[in-house]
Amino acid sequence: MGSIRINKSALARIGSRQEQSIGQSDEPHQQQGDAADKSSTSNTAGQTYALIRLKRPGRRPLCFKGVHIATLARPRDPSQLLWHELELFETWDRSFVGRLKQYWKEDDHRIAAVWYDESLQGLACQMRSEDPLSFCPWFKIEEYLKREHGQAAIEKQASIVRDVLQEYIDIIATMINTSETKLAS
Amino acid sequence: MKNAVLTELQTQAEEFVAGPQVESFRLKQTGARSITFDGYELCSSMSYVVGPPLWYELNIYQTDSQGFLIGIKMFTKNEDEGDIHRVLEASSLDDVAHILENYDPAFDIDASSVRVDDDTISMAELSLAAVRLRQRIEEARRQFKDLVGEILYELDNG
Repeated sequence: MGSIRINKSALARIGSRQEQSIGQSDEPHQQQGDAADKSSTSNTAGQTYALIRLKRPGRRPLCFKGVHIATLARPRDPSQLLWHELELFETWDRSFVGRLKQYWKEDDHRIAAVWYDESLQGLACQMRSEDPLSFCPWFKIEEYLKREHGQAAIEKQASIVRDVLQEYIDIIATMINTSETKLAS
Repeated sequence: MKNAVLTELQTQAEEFVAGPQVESFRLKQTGARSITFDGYELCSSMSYVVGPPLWYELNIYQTDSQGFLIGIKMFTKNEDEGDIHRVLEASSLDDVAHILENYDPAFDIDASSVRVDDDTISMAELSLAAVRLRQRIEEARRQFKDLVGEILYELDNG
């Protein structure tokens, strides 16, 4: 990720958030406010709902009342260069949000994708329809591998492709298994 | 050191209280005349990192006439391929968000590198060029989406 600079002073000048809101118009965001206040304040596991704002690539942040229910990731192999973790949230109306974080070596993580669905099966379906390889910064990876591995760069890149695909499949499977167990308990 | 930091913080606080200064801007456009206006720069961001052959710079401005302008620049390391400069108009911050969410960076990528009408190029070379083109499009989309996500998150926070 590069850099971002916000001119807070100029932004403050624009006026009230109601007049110039960039608030989104889809998904659970609409359901907060009065309707959310009248609903239960915690999930079946007794976790209290909070207002959550998630950054997502290419879109306005996703805002909802909910709780973080799990972080799913494979145990990390120290030789791994690129790895992912999925954070799972339950919204106040029993829908689900998944956020996929991508890590590249010691860099800061980036948000690779955010999905929202009324069921875990639906969330898994959305995830399966994505190509996890398209989330990856291949040019950055290539540059690093050529520098660090020279002739072996292509083999190393092939192993990253294989790992990313396998990891993604594992994460979806783990999400379905552990979350259903967790939610049922 | 401590004093320098305090002075910098004080300057920033004074600037914030005084409000932003109107500035004159001139935005270059690929294939069209430049746009000149007075206003404020609300935010600027850049996706440059070592490695990728291209990167984006996004700027959002509020004009004196209360409109908004989005400056989109795509820079490339390839000297044969020119940089792209686009300026898009928006009526509100909500409109800015809508435009950015619907912008497809694939249109910024020059597809002429895949020379489908050249008989001297083998199918293997052509396929490789097509794969490379697809990689560039995905890279452009990924970088652009990352920037847009960051900007919209920060603006919503602001």
